[in-house]
Amino acid sequence: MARRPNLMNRGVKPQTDLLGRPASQTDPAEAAALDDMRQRLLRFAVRILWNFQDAEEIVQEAFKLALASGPTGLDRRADSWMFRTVTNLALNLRRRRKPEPLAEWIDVPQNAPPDMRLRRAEQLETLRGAVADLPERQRTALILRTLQQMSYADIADIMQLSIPAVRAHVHFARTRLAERLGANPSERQP
Amino acid sequence: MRPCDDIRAACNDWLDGTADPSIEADIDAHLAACEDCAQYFGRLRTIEDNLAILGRAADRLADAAGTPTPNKRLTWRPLIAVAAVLMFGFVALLRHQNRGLEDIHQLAENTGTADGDVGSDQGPGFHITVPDGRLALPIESDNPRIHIVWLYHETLPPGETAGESTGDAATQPG
Repeated sequence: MARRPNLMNRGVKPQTDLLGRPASQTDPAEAAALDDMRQRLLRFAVRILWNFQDAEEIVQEAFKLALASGPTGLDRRADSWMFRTVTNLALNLRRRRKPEPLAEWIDVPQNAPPDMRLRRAEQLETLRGAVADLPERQRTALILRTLQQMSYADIADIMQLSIPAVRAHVHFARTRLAERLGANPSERQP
Repeated sequence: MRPCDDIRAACNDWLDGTADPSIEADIDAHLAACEDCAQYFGRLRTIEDNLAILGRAADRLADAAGTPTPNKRLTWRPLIAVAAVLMFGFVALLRHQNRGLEDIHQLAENTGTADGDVGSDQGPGFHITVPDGRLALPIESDNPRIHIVWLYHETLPPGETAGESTGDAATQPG
């Protein structure tokens, strides 16, 4: 039985790659592609959960599931499968850790007043909260479209919906946010 | 002019930048004339821009938190080396402390018993005397705490006990 790759221990060279194949037999280009996939999945999971540790656990879980019953290649089908799995795991995750505060991660001009970062972070926190409150499919479609910058075709593959259905979810998510955030997108509607 | 509902229904393509040029022109014309729709589309645009900022923030968080760190597993070699150095130092210190006693023992073996005052040729202030059966030995030790140790080289009379004392060379035990 192949040894499970240990994604958490970066200091140990794994004996298998992320899909359970012996590392010695993994083509370097494929290894790079796998690593790229992992990075994209991590970023995606962080965009949903806003906590790196939760995101890392979910991505590792997704790779474990891929080992057990998922695709073995690195084609587009594998990509969709992994993103779908990460999405389902993220949406089903009972939140264990708090979302990271935004102040440290947002970009503000270098010469901005000290309180500008805090005010900006507050505005974005409001938006982040509004996105988290969206219905699951609207939230997923919106994140994949606006944050992950995926095409509607790829999103349709991931969510196993038709392209018009995905477009509808994105549309309703956007309009819902606009209505909720009111005249000032940083303020919530009652 | 097209109705507001039609225009708002096309906001998705407008935001994505994929609207048909004719529809985009209709939207621009409508927004120029309808303040409500202009504000609504303005909100949509702001939200879209802020979502992009959130996306970049998430990437920074993921990249910063996911930066590979050096292997933090505990390695025993440096600990063993430090422990060895400490032990060596401790043993050396003990030997240094005990050197005075070794000198004493060696001197006792070499000197044996002596009667009378050997004299001051043993060093300034130090004498070898044998008062009451006890042997006073000079200490050639760097340890400032030990100057003279009285040793008993004979069987003591009943009631008397062996002992050590430090003191000035000129001091006779009482």
